[in-house]
Amino acid sequence: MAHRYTQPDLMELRSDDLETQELTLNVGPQHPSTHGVLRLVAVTDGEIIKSLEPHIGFLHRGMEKNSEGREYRQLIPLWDRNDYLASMHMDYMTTSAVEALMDLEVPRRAEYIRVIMLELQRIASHLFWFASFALDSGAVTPLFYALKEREKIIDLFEMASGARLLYNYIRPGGVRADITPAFMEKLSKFIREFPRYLDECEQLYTGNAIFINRARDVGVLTREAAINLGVSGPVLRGSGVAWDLRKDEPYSIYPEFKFDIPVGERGDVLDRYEVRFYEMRMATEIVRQAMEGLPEGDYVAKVPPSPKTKAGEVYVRQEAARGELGCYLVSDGGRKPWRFHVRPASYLNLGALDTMCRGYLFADLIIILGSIDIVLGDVDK
Amino acid sequence: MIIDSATIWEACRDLLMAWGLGYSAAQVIILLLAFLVVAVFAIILVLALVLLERRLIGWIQLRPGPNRVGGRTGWLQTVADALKLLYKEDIVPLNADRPTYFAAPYAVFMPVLLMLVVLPFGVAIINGSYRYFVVSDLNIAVLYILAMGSVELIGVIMAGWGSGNKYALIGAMRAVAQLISYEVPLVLALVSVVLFAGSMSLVDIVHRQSSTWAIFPLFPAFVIFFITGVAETNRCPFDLLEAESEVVAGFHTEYSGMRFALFFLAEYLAVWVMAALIVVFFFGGWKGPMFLGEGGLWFTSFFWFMAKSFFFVWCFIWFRGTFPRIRVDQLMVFSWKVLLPLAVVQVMIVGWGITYRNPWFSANVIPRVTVVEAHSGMVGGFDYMTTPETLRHLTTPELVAFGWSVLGAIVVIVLLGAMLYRTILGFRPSREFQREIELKNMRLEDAKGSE
Repeated sequence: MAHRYTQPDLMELRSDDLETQELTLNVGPQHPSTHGVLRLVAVTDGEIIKSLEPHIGFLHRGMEKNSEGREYRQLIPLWDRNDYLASMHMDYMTTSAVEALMDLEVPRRAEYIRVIMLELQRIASHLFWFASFALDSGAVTPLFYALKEREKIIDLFEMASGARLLYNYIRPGGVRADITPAFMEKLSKFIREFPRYLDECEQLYTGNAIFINRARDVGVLTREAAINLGVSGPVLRGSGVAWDLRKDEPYSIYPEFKFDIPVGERGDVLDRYEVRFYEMRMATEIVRQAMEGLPEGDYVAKVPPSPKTKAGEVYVRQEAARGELGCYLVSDGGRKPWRFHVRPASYLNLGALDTMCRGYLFADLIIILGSIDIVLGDVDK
Repeated sequence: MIIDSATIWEACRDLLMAWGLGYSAAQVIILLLAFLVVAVFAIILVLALVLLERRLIGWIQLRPGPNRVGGRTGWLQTVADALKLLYKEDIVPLNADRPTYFAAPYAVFMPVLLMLVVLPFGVAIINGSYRYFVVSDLNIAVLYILAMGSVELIGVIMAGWGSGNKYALIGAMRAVAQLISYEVPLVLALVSVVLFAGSMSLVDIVHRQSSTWAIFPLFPAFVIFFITGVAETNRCPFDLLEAESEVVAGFHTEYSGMRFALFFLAEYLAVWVMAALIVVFFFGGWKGPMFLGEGGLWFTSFFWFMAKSFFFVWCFIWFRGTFPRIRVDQLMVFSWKVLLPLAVVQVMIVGWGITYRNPWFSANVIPRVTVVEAHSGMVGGFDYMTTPETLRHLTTPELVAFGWSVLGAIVVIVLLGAMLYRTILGFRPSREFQREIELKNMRLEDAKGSE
């Protein structure tokens, strides 16, 4: 790590007459850029971070235990609230776990609608990440531009599901409501315009020399460290590991679509940034393909209002906006899960923060934290 | 006895003395009055500036900005904010260093206010001689400005230390680092201006730009001064010491109520002062097309000064709407490795130009019209009202500069117009949305009509 700031020998040479002290800095839980109620205890030498310890759990709601007392259809709106910026992915997580224990035949139209929604949700989530990341780096304007585009996606979700944030849309057997021609019209308009908007954003922000200087070679996470720490999603791909569950462990109808997996080279903040932007372009491409191939037919299979699963256990995982979103479900054959465990991507990605931050400046900490893209609801469950 | 006078305040003093007051008494009264006028002007300016910033940032960020208090324009918003701050509780942290904590806001605010003392706002002709709108035409005004700029930072350090807060301390330490790195190129940029003008008085510096604005021969110095000026006012992208995403609010994290308001006032006043200094040093101060002639000189000169300075305020606001924040070590690297060598080269070039009487540099050192001639009105009006007669006698650099200044005047007027238009009339963020609502209403009306 040639570019990391190392402790100069000067300090040791003059240690007899110069006394310095390490500063323990408490960042959060009330700090403008911890993305929620996260507390970071940083030991710094001046502004250089020596070590960092995230303290989590301020938002713990006991959702896993809570799930054990609920029927499967009730789990969907509950887990919506876990990662509130990517509700569709949470819906799909619960649904796919239940479906895996039910041996359900999902109609093809429903699968296509699901893919459209999941990829739109990925774009929306990445747009929100872009907004907050730009804010962390000190630029306020991209926030408004990104949220303006995200608003269009949310309008689409509202047309489909009636809700704007927590959709409760994907359910065992299919989706809750069919999509309308008006929705398709609006969606095709969005897909047409969105790549141009991304170009605009890159012109405004990506090409900025100040941003490049701040993001390049900062918060480096090597390939080995990334794998050892169990990070996933854009953080892992930014570190140069081409691991995407949509390709490597295909679920739903993803094998039918053509898309690329962006991979970083240096594993720094800029790589994670680029990976997310490329993913937005690819998600647009997938949505376009899904729109073209959208078959007619049922949008939901026949499922009883409160389904029963067979006894057994299952682990399903999917590539959500923030990384690998896994769900471990144990059922005793009733209407409620016996054990419901979720592997949130934000939680494991946050674990890599200390490795990424050591040796960098305090100002880098904020931008590195922004580049991980955590949602505290997802971390604390 | 009438003492030879040059500022408008001295003219007023002469008036008082003509009424029979003693010199000292008249001087004290007039100086107090002058400072009062300037201070009140500054406060009103800041109130307008905050509103302007919020409206313009709103325009950049696709949102309306303040649009409730005082009607659609939201012109009472800052007044309401100031009143709110007055009513807020004044919280003092338990582990604050109390004397430092209390003194810091004044130590930050007063130097910025004192900078206004030497700023020349304009000129009028009274009884055949120039009277400048400046409280005191100091002959070392450039040094004075630099000193005041540095004193302001002592206030910042006092606030950071006195608050007893780690974020505030980090913010203050960043201020020190920033001061050391940007002050050197700033001073060197001003050295080339002073060499060019041959004087440290701001009035003189403006006068020496009669035929050529200093930006044309001194463009690199202008760039350096502009960048370091943004750093001096702690504005984006150099707002390191109050970077809200990193150190919460920097040195004023622990301040609330009116003490915070003083920091706020100081920041915005410093923005305008810096814009005004850029205008004075590089854009000919109050000079511009004096379309009203000698009688309206007091108005036209003031107008051009304010128009130009607000153009640069607009640039500052524009920066804030565009750039991310630079990192503290990158600022220092940029300052020492890029700006400083550039500034040194600039000083060398100016020195060379003056020594060898290059027309680009010496045109202003040896004025075509001496001050005495101009004062006595011998050359028909005054030298910077360019007539077709004088245009024919201009040298090539002067002609180019004249062309650029005319173009610049048009640009300033258009941008200022757009700025005022947006500030007063506001911005509707989503025309499409508006149109959709209108269409919906129309459809509803149609439906009603058909029923």
